Amino acid sequence: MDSDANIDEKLLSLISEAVRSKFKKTKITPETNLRTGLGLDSLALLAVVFRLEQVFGIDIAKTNYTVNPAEMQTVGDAIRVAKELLQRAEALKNA
Amino acid sequence: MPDLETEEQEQPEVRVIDAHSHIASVEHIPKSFIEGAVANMVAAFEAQGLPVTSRKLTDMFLQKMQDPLCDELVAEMDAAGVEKTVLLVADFTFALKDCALSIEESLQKHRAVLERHPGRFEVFGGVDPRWGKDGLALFERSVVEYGFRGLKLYPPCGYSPSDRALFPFYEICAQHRIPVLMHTGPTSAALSFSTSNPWLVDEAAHTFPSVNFILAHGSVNFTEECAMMCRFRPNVFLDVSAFQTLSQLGMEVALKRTFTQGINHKVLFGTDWPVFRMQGDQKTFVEFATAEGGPMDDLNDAEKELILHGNIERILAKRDKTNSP
Repeated sequence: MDSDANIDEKLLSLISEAVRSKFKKTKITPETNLRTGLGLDSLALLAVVFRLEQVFGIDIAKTNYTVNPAEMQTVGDAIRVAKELLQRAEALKNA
Repeated sequence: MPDLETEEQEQPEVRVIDAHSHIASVEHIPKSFIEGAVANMVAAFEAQGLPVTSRKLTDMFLQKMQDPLCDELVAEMDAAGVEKTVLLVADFTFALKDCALSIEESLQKHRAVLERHPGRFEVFGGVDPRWGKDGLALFERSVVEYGFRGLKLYPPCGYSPSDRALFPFYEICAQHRIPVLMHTGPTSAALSFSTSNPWLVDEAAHTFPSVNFILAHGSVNFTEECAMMCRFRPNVFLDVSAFQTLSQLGMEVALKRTFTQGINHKVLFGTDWPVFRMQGDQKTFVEFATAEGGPMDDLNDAEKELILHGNIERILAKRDKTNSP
């Protein structure tokens, strides 16, 4: 699996791609609110999660982890969810 | 002269009644309905080069449909400060063939929820008019024996709200002084949208002036038509549920537009639980609607109270007046 820093960079890149134009200049920190700070709606958040599957070559369905965009309020939340998915996918691969 | 500058005062807790929700269970909302709704999301993701399957998205939604007794809903109501919720039973059993229960079984399960959570819910029972006399008798039984307080209609199942077959239902509503709440606008792709224009209720509303008709989703679907109906038919109202369909900015614009039409005595707050559980919980939706600087900012306290609980209370109270001496 990629190093932590590399994963964070890729995740932030995925989130940045989904940010609406008017929020493009917002400095993204773990506390940045995904909806009010970056203009991401739930469909956009789901798209980020599915893009994660493509970039990291994982299948969320197999991880047995419930992804709920409603619970992702901040960038930090999104990164936590993404890392949980990646860890689970890695564990399955090594099993 | 006393200083008229208003001081910042602690705001009293706002009372909220959710006028539009459903039991989160595939017992009452068939899988084909959910798959039809998901189909639009699949199209949106495909356009972005993401080959997400309908099965994957459906499974994600179904994980949020595991609350047949409304225990999770009550917990969210408590967290959100929602004192009561109106549960709506849409009868899909005539139009969709994968319903888990008959409509009678579905209504009985709603009765059980009323008993399980005393004082927290009201139920508007729905019966497709094409079930004929048996359906009509079932609806009347739901009002007289189960204590249901309204009629729920879902015209995309294939009938107009002014279909003559519904008039005997409206006569029961008039007799018992209970309202009708009907879906308006598009819905799951599994159904037809041709009978979902709110204008279609006009003949019924005109013929039954003592019956209150509530147009669901009036803040996002056919918004001008819904507002016009509310403005010119004394017995027509709208609820704002499904505002969560829109983006953050879209929700604010849609609710503000509804609240600034001069019809706030006709507007009901609603969340359409569990449809938007992927977008947020009940607390999120209530806070969004009532936040300082939010869509209710142009309203005075009386208008806010009407929308958040007063209008639906007034509609429901009509029934109680039949029992007064």
